[in-house]
Amino acid sequence: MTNTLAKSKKKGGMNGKTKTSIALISMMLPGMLYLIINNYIPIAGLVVAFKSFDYAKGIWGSGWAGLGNFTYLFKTQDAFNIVRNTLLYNIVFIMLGNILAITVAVMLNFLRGQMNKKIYQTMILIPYLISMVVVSYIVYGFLSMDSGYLNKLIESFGGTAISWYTEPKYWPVILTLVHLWSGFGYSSIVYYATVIGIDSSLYEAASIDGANVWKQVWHITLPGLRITIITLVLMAMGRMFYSDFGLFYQVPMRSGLLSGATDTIDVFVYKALTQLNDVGRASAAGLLQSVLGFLMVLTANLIVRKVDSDSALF
Amino acid sequence: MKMKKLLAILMAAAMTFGLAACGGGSGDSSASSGDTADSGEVQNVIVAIPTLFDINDSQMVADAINEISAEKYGVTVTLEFIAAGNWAQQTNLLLTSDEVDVLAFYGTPLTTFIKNNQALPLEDYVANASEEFKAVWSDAELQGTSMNGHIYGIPNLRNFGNTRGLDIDANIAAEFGIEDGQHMTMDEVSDFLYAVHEAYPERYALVPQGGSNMVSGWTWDGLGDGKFIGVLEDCGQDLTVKNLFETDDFKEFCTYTRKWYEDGLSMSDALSNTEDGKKLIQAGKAVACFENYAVDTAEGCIRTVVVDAWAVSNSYAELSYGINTNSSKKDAAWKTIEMFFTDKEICELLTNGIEGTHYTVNEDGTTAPTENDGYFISAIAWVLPYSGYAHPMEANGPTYYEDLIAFNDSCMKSKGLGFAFDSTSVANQYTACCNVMDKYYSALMCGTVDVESTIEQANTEFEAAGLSDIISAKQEQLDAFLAAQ
Repeated sequence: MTNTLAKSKKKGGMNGKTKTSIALISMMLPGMLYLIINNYIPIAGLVVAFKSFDYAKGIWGSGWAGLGNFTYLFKTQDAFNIVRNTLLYNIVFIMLGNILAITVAVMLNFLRGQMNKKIYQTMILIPYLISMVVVSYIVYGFLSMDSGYLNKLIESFGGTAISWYTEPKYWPVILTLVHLWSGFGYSSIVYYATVIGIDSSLYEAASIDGANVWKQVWHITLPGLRITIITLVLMAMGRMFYSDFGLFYQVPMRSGLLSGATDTIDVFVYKALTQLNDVGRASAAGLLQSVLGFLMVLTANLIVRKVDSDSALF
Repeated sequence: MKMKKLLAILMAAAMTFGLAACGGGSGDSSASSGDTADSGEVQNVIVAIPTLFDINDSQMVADAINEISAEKYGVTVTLEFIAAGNWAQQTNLLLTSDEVDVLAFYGTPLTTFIKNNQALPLEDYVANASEEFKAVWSDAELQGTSMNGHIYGIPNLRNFGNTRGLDIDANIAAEFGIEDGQHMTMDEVSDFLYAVHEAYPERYALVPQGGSNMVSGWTWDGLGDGKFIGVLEDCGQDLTVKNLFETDDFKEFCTYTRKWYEDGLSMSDALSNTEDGKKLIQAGKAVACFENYAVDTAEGCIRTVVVDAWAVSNSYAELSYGINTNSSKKDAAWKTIEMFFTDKEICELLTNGIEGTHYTVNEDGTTAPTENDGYFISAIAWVLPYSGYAHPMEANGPTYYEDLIAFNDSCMKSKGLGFAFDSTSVANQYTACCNVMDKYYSALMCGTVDVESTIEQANTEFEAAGLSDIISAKQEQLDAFLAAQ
């Protein structure tokens, strides 16, 4: 996808076809407007993070709070816990998620027959489209104490039922599995789009030279995917301090006992703010997440540029 | 390059507009703090009321109210019924500007609305109100929605206290010879649950009141804090603020539920339960659940008493009606509130809808619903400003509102009544303690974890989270409040 975009851009520039670029720009305008209105204008509102917000005085009239809105994030003993959870879950998700997605994308490429490809693509995409609230009940169907599939299975082998919703130790695994199951379809299709863009004559040449399937994947597919992998991982790193709220809030069924293993920054902030209803603190948490995420992207990009300057985002 | 320049200009423009737009907002609000003069023309007041289901005919009812109110009071109303689930979010947005005039302070503690400067002080309006209005609530009752000498809300009519007891499937209760309104000790409850478990092993003997909440409150008073971080024991009769997990009542309750849980009497999935206890009883899946109630009845159940009716200290402030500080029609808004609390005709319309369309009146003065359920707010009349003048529903009996008012007068009050804790000075500790409470409270109340070891663990975490700071702040504020009385 990125390749084709880059190509078309270059073509327009080289041939100097201003008409084409006007057409392209006008096609881009609605999206740009949306971005400006939705993503850029509200940036000014970040100032709320430094205000003690007073509804009668509005954003600009309210008094300054300095860094007061940020302290609650660090003063609690939960701070270490939630930052650790957010980062570790994200690292695991990024690594396993990408490995799984690339594997599936490569496998899709080896499928024969259009019909098969369509069926598999649709099937793997379905979990991504299911709302987390529904997913939480599917998980509950597996883990329920009384009627859960897993507990019935354990009991039928003579074991004793496990109270999944009161034991935090199982949850890192459960949440990782749920995340991979629900997300792999989408990201593998992004990779698949790049895989099918790889020139098929390369594969033909390789097989004539006697390369087996593994060698073809290793020497042709993976190098072809490199830029996409770097882009997707960099973008994911930008969201290192965010988490899928639905996954961490809904799937554990709000069981308080699990909070040590399932609370991420987003969930913590949500809980804290539904109790305090404080706009300033909500913005403070959001601002901090964005700034840290931005720094992560810069750092990761810097490293990529040092290693391989062609692959860096900027 | 051209593209980049264009982009840069666009971004800069966007930022400037953003700033200008926000600046404009605050300008408006400062202008609106002066009130529109009483010019004699009819003003339209927007009223936000929480609801649990869709109210399709709100416009029809508002029109009927306006026919009376325009001439009599010089105001018309727009009724906005907002689902309780969206309430906090939507009202927060409405309150940033002039989009609502009169609203219920509900869901979030009144102290938070006051702290955010969302609620307009009403004491001047109250002082100049009609005698009829002043007769509705006494000065002492209005203390319940006041802070630092300012009245911020007018309490609505609902039960201010609660009896706590066991709701039992009516047929099974009859079989075991238990009557409606009977007093039970926890030992008797326990004996009953064991017996019923034996007789009906396929049903849960006990389920939570709703979701993972075993029962809403018990004998401890959170002093305006629904999370119970620092409580008064003994239905608010003991004036020492304590850690809930160190009170005997709490430990006793959890020890019972733990035993029931371990013996398979209660729901093993209690913590992930999302169903309502009474619905489970009505569906024949459960026999009993704990419940808090006043004079209302539950279909298919009888209600017993374990803890006699008493009112927590913030009972008046839990739902009150007040005025948005950003309202540009504050005087008209007050007129509307006064009208809701005193005008019998309007009260009837607001509670029951339109006679003939939404209800008919029975001979005994109760109302029967018609097939049109477009305005069925009477089923949850406790969200409305004041329904005391209206015909009660059939199911509630002809003397429902009289009973309700009598119940409020007679039930025992916490000694901290009217006090509401302001957590601002200990906000960080409070957030941390709420997290600890969320972690263990439901689990302990449902009996899903061992009582002693869990309480010990929780107390260590409470200590680290700064519970002692909150308790001493609460005690200090409470003492100051009591001294000022």
